[in-house]
Amino acid sequence: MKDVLIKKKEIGLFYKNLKEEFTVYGVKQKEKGFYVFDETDEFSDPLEEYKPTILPPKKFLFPQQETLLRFNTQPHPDIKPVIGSKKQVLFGVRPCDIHGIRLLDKIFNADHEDKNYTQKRAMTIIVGIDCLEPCYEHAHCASVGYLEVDDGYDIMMTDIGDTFYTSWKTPQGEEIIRKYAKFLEAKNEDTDKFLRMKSERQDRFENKIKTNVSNLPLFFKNADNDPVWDELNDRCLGCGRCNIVCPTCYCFDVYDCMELNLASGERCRQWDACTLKDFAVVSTGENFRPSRGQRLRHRFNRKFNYLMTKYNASFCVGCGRCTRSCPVNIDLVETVNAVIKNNRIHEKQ
Amino acid sequence: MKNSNSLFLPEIAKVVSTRQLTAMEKYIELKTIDDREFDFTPGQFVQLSVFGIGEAPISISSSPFNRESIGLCVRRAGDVTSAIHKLEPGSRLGMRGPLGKGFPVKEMRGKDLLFIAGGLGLAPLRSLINYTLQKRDDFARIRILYGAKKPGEILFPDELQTWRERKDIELEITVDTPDQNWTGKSGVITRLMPSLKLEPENTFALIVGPPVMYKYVLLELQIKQIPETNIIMSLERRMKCGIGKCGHCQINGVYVCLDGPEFSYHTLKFLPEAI
Amino acid sequence: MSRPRVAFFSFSSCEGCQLVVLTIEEQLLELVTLIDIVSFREAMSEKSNDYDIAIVEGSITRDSEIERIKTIRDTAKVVVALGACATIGGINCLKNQFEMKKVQNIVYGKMADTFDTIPARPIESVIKVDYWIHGCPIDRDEFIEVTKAILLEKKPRIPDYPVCVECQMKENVCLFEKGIVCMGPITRAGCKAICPTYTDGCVGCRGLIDDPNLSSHKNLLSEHGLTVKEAISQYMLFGGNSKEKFE
Repeated sequence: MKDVLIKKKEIGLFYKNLKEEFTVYGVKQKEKGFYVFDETDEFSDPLEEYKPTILPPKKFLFPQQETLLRFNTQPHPDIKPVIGSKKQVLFGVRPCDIHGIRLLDKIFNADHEDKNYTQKRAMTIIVGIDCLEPCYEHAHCASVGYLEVDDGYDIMMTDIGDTFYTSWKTPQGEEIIRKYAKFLEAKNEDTDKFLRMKSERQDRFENKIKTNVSNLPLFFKNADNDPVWDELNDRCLGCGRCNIVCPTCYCFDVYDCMELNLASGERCRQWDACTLKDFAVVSTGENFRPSRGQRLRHRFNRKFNYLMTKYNASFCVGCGRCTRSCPVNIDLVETVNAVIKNNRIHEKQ
Repeated sequence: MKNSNSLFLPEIAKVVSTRQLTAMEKYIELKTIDDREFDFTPGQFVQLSVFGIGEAPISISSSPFNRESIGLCVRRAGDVTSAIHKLEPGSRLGMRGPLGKGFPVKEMRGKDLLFIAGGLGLAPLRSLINYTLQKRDDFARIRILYGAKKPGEILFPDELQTWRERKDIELEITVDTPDQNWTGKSGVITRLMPSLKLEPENTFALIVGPPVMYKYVLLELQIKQIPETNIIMSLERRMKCGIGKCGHCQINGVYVCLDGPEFSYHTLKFLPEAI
Repeated sequence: MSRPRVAFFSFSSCEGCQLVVLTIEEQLLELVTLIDIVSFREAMSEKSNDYDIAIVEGSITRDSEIERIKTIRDTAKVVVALGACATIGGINCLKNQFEMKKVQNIVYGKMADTFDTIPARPIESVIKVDYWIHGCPIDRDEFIEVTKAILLEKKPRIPDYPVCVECQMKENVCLFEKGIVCMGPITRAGCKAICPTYTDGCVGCRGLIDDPNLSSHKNLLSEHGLTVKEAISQYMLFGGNSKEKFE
């Protein structure tokens, strides 16, 4: 047996049963049209109404603020590492966010393993819900090759009508289905229907970026002096929202917080954002990326050049959150296409 | 690194001795509390913690041949370094490292060496200079250029004197603004460069100084036709984690903490944000 | 600094920020083991002219206040500006848009000649300030953060990034999405985005970030239907002392 069917009306039961063993985070509506991942009593995923959550589910693996160490300074420093983790299920993660987590897995394991991330990750079960339609106008997952996902999740469910066509990727995935879900074995006709629906979706997902994604590092290598950065310098507010909502942004600040006894305290990390003014300021006051245009250029290069070259994978997952959240409508796809266009004009000259 | 679990967990080190070098710089010598031997490459750095204040990256200034302790030249620039200045022998602090890659000592073997130190840049270069002096026969001609802002800001004057007295190395010192008692050369460090007679193919230039210095030094070295691969510069950037995660020290595609802080110009010329 | 003597002073203000200090409750007892409060009009009747740290609420709006704040500066080792009136001039600076004579007449009527007044200004425009606790009113945690920073001789962790960062980390729906204008993108964070969290647009009480993109923000406001005049009046509510930046 490989794939199973879970009836839609029984998905809530599966969700609730998981809570016996795990803290379960699912999608819920925060305000009309805006969704968040949260610990919910009931399965409340909006399914076909779904739009990417305000923050991606990375917050459960790499929280906004996190304690790294606890220390006591008297009479001599005594330090203990703090690595928090618990058994958790992220329920209803879409392909773009699964790719986001996959990429963070690479980052936090590369060079030096970051246990504060990896131990949380190791305790996390990911239940995906696949997308058959683009979720909203800003989605461009297909352009970066991230509509398809074949790794980085435990269970994947696809809405094929009144049932979820469900497959697992890991032994843990199989185990929790057997333990907590009410399911039927998928018959050949179900599998055919599932495959047909999946192949039919291809045409619905537009290729919005006007080149093959693998060409982007080259385009960006040649785009340091692209006029687009000057134009964005005038528009960008430097508010950091594009960083904060990004599934693959992982920069952080580290700081000490002493308790009022002035003897013990914590060392913490907090999400930082490379579009903020002070991101590259050194103690002597020099700012190595003083303008908003330079900082935005850096952010785009992280997604499509620097990290893409190092890990051979786009660090934009196509969720469109940065575009949606930008108060001054800086559009990622438009910016990338402008870089491509200006490059080509440059080539012709 | 010693830490088996958290990347962020420092080990505890104790201050063995301290010495005020200038008004702004203090030299501190550290040992780990379990008297572990140090093993590092010149140019590497450590992250020092004063708990409750924070962490700051400091390059190692002592010779790697002294394995019992490390020496660091700490400039009072922010909260952490100010707190380090207040430490006395016996005080304990946190340390992570050594971090970074350091100077390419293997490739430098058999070559002429030209050290160019601006201000506090002498601190990490001192580690490398003492390394090369210990292995003097491994290297050909050794020249050191050192520029300080004022005579009072000259670091390690006693050591500079012993270097000056040695017949097998050449040392030149200049200050930007001399006082009445100064009898040496004055002006920016690049003034010492035009008269240098170099064998470019056989020379390694090793440069550490304030960001503003690099552009001008580089120009002089290019005039001298030193190969790009033989020009090694140490870069300063904001660092938080020291291990290539937090993103602050990134210059284009490289992390200063992980891939440097020393880089050849051959690498840097492809990084428009570097110099 | 070990158990410094601390005095609170009121200048032109509502004294609400000092009231916030009194609401720190559970931590206040711990706090007074670290500092010795020698003057605090809102909390005690004792007074002293011997203090190390002066915590000053209010802006400077009269000539006599200039002399008084200078004396405080001469006495204290450390001066802390408490709340928007002291840090940026605050809403008191609204009056600076008018003739002082007119303002006197409106406020004091027949008694106008009895009270002098000068354009309102933050205390920093008269004396050197060492620490700033922003906001109208201040945030309790920031008061504690600054107190600890003074005692530990370190820089307090006061953000120089916009409110948007905190607002977005809390997963709020952006108010611009709902047609509500907000000063968040140009205002210094540290308030935990309390107003936007409760669907009130940020009014900029913590002052501008160091490098705000005002022209882009102004365009954003005009896209949301504000005229130039209305946009400027939004900025002027708390930013009266930075008027030249808005025009």
